[in-house]
Amino acid sequence: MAERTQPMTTDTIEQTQPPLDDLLSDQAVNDPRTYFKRLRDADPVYWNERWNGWVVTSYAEVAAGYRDYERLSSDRFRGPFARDILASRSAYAGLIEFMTKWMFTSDRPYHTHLRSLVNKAFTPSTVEVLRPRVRELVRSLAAPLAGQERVNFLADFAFPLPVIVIAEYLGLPPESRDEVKAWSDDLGAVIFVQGNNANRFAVAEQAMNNLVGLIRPIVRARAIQPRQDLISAMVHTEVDGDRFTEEEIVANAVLMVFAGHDTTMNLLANGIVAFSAFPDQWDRLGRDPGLARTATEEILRYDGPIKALARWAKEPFELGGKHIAQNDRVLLVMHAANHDPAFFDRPDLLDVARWPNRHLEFGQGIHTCLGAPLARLEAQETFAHLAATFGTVQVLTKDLSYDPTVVSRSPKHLEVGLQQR
Amino acid sequence: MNADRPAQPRAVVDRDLCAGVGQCAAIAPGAFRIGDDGLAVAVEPGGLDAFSASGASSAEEIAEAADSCPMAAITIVPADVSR
Repeated sequence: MAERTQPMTTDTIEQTQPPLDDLLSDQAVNDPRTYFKRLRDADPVYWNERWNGWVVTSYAEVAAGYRDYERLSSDRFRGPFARDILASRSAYAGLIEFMTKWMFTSDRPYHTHLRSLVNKAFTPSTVEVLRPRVRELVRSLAAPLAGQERVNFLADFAFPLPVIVIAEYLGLPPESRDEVKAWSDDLGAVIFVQGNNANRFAVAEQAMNNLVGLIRPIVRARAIQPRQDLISAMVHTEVDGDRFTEEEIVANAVLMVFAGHDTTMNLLANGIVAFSAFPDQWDRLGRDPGLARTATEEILRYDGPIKALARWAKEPFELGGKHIAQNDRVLLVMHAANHDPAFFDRPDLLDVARWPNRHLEFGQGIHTCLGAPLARLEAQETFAHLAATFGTVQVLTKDLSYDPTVVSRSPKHLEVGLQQR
Repeated sequence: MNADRPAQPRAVVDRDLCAGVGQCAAIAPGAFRIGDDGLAVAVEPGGLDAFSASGASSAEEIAEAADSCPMAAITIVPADVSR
């Protein structure tokens, strides 16, 4: 309705707009900025009949939703998201049992137990010690890109960097890298609920079994002989007499493998795409590596790896003037909040010096991305080094297209041209 | 209320960085709490008296809370520059 109140150049533009209720339309998937602007203009807390829930696109309400973790639940084993999972429980008991031990999908107080035991492993001061190693990896992966006409940025840079970093940090063997990638992608089908994949539980369970088969022997070995790695830390950490069980360590190591590489890969890729559209900002960063931190925050805001995450209401409450009923599904769209002109000045412009930059890309509240400091570190080192080395970056893939998911912002292919300075 | 005491170290929350994760309030509940807007605040307005006698957290707990912040949003301001 609100669309009609906006100036339209021609009627045909309006007619060609896909329905607002289609979260997986070509526009929603490949041009989310335009799609979510339409949604925010129509209604920032919008009832989506097709998704059967609220889609929240304004900054204030998305922030409030993430911070309201007592009423907006992440629990996938109760409430309206549980039906699918519980229906699969008998067939995929092992998979479901592991997922109940993820901090990502649990509420307080169990979430507090899981998170407090690993929180210190991901604080900025802890991950800072990884910076020299990350820098070395960035340089060694970037070196062969020079002189290539078409760089396959996903396969040759954005995938290997984060998977090597998280595998080394956890203490996984380096030769497991490609298997870990394949299994993580399969697991993502359950986490990110890809459309048209009826078989996703079967595929995910196989992937989970494979990852568990890799990780469990390492957990047991580190219990006897600890090393300087995160699995050892999880085995031996104790907070106020509280410890992890073996099942919890294995389940959360799997979660970290998955969450540690896929999202970071997409952050790096989306950054390259954004810089290709704003060559002056790339040049500016290349000349002033001191901008690496603010530039990374700006990429997170402008086109981060996660578009939205879903919650459900444990009790009724008001959000943006709407009555949210108990058990209602609520989609908090950080991609939209990060482009809300009510909060950000000229939100559709990329400004590598933007500060303050209170984007919501990592969420807010108790579920705020655990790996945020590590993702930031990898992105800072990547963008600073590539911009200093290559004077221009250009997307060569024609009709860039993205995986059809509501949650992640993940380009299918990304070929780029890099010109040395 | 602190006029009769020497300047003390204080903890300050940078609300441009805070994401309301709540680790500080869990580790040093006498020093930090999550405010009505969902972000952390130091319990005493204008920063925190780390050695306040009124049941506040110890200096060690406050330092631990600052070090545990995933957003590096907490700064301990040493006594000698708190003026």
